[in-house]
Amino acid sequence: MTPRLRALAGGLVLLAALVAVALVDAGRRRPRSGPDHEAAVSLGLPDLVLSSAERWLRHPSQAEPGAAVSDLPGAPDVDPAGALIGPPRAVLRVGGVEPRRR
Amino acid sequence: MSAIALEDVRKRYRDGATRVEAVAGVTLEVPEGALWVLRGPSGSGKTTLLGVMGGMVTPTSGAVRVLGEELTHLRDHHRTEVRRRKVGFVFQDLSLIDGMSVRENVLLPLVPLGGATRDQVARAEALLGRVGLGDRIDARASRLSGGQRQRAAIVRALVPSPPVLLLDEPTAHLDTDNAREIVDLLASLRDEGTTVVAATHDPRLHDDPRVDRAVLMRDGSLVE
Amino acid sequence: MKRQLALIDFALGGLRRRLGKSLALTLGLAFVVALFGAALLLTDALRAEYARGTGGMPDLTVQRLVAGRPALIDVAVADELAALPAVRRVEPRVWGYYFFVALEANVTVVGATEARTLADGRLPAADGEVAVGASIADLLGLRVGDEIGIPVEGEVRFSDVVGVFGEDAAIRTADLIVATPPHARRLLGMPEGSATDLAIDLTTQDEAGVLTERIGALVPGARVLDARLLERTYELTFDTRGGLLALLLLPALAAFLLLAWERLTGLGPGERREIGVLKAVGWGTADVLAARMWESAIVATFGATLGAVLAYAYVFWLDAPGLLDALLGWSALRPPMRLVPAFDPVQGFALVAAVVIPFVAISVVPAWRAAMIDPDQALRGGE
Repeated sequence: MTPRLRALAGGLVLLAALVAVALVDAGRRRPRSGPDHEAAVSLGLPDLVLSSAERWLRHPSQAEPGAAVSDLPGAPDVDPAGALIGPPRAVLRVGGVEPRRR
Repeated sequence: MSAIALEDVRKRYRDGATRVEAVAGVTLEVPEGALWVLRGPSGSGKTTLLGVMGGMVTPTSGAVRVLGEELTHLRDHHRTEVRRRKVGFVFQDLSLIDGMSVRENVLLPLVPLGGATRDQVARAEALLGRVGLGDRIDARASRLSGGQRQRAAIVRALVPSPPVLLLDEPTAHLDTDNAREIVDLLASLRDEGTTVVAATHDPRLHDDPRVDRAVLMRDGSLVE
Repeated sequence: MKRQLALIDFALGGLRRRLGKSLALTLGLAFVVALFGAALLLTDALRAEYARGTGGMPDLTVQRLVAGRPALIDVAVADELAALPAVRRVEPRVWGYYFFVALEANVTVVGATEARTLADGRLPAADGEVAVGASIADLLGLRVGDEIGIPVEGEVRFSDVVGVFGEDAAIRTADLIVATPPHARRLLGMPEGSATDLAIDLTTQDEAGVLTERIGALVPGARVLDARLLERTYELTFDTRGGLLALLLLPALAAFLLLAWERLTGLGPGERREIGVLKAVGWGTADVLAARMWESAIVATFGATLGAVLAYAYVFWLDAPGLLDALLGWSALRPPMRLVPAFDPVQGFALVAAVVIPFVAISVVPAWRAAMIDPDQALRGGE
């Protein structure tokens, strides 16, 4: 084996080691499902604690549809013209049910 | 059997709207173990004819045989095979790759064959020693003088031990001493049985008494 | 095998001769892969996180709309709906937002009926008790046993903190104040006998469509939300945001590919000569091409892998500064993020297809063109 091929092999081993470190780290970050998680799930909340677009806090999926000042009066409307990709129409429909395919 | 046989070979290039006939119907036979020179002014078609002999340029019409093998009907990779086994080629401008060491340069033809064996490396080093480059084996090609580059390029063509060696202007831009060394080298290769054909307009080469035959070309045709 | 090894060796020599270019391409590729990879890893992790909690969601959620806005719903409606076929359980839920002036943020007040223990304390069992999320506890300096005063309608109502959610569950609970339903009503200023919405569990989800219609007829102004629909909406939200993010990154990809194209197609006179030399010493077109492929493959392997590891480190070790804001929006009560890596192989493949394959393609095509040249043409320095 030439020195260059040896160097390449060394580089590949190094890459593999990096990937292995990431994989091991990913394995250690398994979700811990303690009592807190279960209690949180039992509350039946539909959303994560993440703000979404123009709403400060969670429950965006059940807040008032289309209210421009749902956050606070005078809040800048982040998307006055509508999103690039619209939401599924069914979400806005009263009694929204996922259309069943037959 | 002749080493190289050409039969009414023609090669036309299209250069924009005009057509250039670089080789206009050449028929010749180079016997095995001969040292031939193609001479003539630049633009007379020497280089193209050399390319045709080595299977590197596909002629527009005519037949080319190298050591009995018909090249014109072969497919590209077969022609590459023949070229690899039978023909060593030394180009005027395409000599060495600058970033590589002399050793790497000289072993280049062996890379597609799976790299050099120990014997081949030894042979390459012996050849380099023979042309006076024994102490420059690990030098970068860019550090060599013109004469040294030319000799290294000839060694490279010889490494796969081809029976036919083709050279384009091997003595161009060389001083008298260097040119004589090249001519000596070609003559001794001929003496060892290699068929050598060189294209040149350098009288130091084509007027050398050891040359078996000097063919004069003009406008794509053989004149004498 | 031997031939390939020799060609790889030659390719490595070529990469080293053009060290600057090789490094620039590798790092450029790593950078682009890292950008896209980070967006992918983030969206996948959030999607997986969301999926971990959908089990607790009711099959149907019934809201009441008055004048087009969600309004309180009478608890008595729950009994009506409980009588419907296929309904297993109807639970009136009490929840809402409370603007916490001290925090300058909205918190979510939720009424909980189930008694559960937490790692630190428990969920409230009696009126006057609350459990709070990690962000609130953090910002107000609360611990189990403390008292929290919440001003409602001109008077401060005090509650005992009996539980604090840990950071493990922060992504669901960071902004929560959990109380018993009556206490939650007091904190939210809701009248007795009212609920925010009704949570319905079905015996079978297949009945959701039929029930939605019956509920609509039964409860004036009802809006019924299907759990599957909510799930899909959430997925779409992340898809859309991930997609928009990827869209923003497209110029980076385009710039890189353009750069690579320029670097690789503009075969310098040196490289052109080199290919001419190789052909002159007996290399076939396939050999030149194979050496070129190896060069690209080595750059692509190192660049893409390095980029993937960079993306991982950026997202999970550095918490994706910059990118997280774009993906999550801004929040006054941003929970401490402890994302769990999730990886979708299909997306990974898509990434490879979008970045690596074009890269290899554009690096090979020009070499192929150059390798096709007759050596004598290379020799003449012409096309």
